[in-house]
Amino acid sequence: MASHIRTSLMLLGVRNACAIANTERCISGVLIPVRHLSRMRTRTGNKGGFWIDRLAPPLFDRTAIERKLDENPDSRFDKVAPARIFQSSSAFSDPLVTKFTNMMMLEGMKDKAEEMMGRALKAVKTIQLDRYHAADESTKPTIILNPIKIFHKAVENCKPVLALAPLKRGGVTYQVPVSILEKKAEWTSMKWLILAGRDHDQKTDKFRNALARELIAASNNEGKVIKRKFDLHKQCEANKAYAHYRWSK
Amino acid sequence: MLSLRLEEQISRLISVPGARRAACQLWKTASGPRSFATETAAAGSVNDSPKAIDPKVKVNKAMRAYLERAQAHNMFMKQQTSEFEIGRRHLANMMGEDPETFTQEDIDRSIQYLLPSNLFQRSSRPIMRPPEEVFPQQKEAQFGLDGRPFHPLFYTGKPNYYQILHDIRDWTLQLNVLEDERVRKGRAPPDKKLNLSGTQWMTKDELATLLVEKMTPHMYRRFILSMERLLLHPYVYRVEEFVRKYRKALIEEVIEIQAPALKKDEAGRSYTEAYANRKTCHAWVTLKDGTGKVDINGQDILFFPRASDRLQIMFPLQLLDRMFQFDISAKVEYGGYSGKSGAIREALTKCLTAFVSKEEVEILRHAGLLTHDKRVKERKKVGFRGARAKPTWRKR
Repeated sequence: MASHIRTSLMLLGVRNACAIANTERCISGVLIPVRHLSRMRTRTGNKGGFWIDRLAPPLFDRTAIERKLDENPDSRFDKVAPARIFQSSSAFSDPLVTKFTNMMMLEGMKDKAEEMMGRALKAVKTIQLDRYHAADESTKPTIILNPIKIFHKAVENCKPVLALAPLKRGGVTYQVPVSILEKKAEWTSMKWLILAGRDHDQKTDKFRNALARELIAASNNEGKVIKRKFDLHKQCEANKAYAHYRWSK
Repeated sequence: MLSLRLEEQISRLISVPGARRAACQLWKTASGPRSFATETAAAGSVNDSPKAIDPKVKVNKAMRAYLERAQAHNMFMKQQTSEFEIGRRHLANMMGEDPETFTQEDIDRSIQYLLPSNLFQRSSRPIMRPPEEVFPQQKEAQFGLDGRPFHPLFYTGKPNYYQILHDIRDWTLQLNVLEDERVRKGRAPPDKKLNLSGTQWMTKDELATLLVEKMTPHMYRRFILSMERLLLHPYVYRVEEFVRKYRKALIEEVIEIQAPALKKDEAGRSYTEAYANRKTCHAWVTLKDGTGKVDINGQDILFFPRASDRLQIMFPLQLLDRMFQFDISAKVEYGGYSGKSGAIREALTKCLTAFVSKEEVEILRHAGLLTHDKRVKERKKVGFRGARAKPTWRKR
């Protein structure tokens, strides 16, 4: 019997509690050694980081909070991190828009960045409304009028799938295609959108209008940023012969 | 703290034949196999201290040294206690209060008043605590008159700690035998589960205090891991008592939140007042039953030019869907707009807790509105450009 083997093993060789702790009990009763104790992390220890990160993250939706309390009654004992100054339960607060605003902010001028973002979204709305009124009845339902929705769609469409990383092999630097994390892809997408917005005629045009045009174009899979994404993908395709440099020398 | 009771009995045994066996017996019956140090009676009289050892009786050197050490320690603690008592009465007289009813809280308050300290580290500020808290506890005698240790794990240096690990092992083996028996008989695994909800493992320091042994992080991790492994056993509910010995009950966070008093104004409308601070700002908020009027330093909500700040003010009310049920009036001082809105938000949430149910307070808490944001600007350091940034390094 498997559990009999386990008991006799313990009696034979494994004499202290530490060694018992180092063996995983599984349903079949077979002993599976696990990694050494000192390398293991427990639930209680090794929680590093800033004090806010060690607390439970706050939630901003009443139904989500109620669901959490139902599913995990022990969360009543959790200490909750304070809601940050940019987080709110309001319909007007959007984490992605906040992130985008912070990214395009210059020299800590947040009020100005917020104003520019608001004006850009307003410009999107204006352009879409003009389009809506000019369109014939059959195409009207396909036009999105919510600028936040357009913004989300644009960021989603501009996310690259791969990235190029410079790796030095044999004295030569190769541009090696590497996979990209979701968070990094989102960052790249937003960075490109901001750069496309800044790339306009300084005398006649404004950032808000350029950004609005770019957002609408990107939400339809067109425009400079989408072209930039495809260029990157093409470059990755061309350099795929170097892909093995990621794991070989 | 050394147990006077045990010492007394041991010193009484000095002239009795077979002292070690008797002492061993005493250890096992009175204090259990791994007696944790017990606290001394607060102010023991002189008669309580160990008697001088009769020079004719043969006593092991280790025991003799221990008894001398214990006597010295007790004398020291007695002196400290009497000094503390005199100091406490003196402090009460200085503060013009009654020495008989002068509690530890009064002492802390007086020390803070008389010796105000601006040091960031709280542990570096002046204190006056009873000597039992200031000087660490010491273990009772771990060996008999002949110098033989009572505990088989004495030479590990941490007998109490290793005893727990051995206990875990013993329980695991016993439960395994039980499980094997049940499996042989073809019984289904038990439905009973050990419910440890609302408790958590003792912290490292708590465990160290309980065992009166120094505890390294590695030792604590090993303890937790072994315990967690025991919890995976299907029959662990049988050793509930053993497991619970090392778990501490948690207190619901929402119980500790104290709502401000609900008052009534001349018109009969109920209102509450609260104070909060954030960064360098201070906010005093009054929340009154009303229709959603806002008054911040004499202005309406447009006191805040940024929309995000205005969202912050309305966040608690908006979350509970009570936007137009209250009038807000706030006074804010110092700092910038972010600090001001944060301070008002916290004070307003405190006010709101008096008006809403316990469940809604819990919702406010889970939205992170009742946790004080204690972050402040880090001070500039001498020789640095800021808090952390160093000047550019130049080679001569």
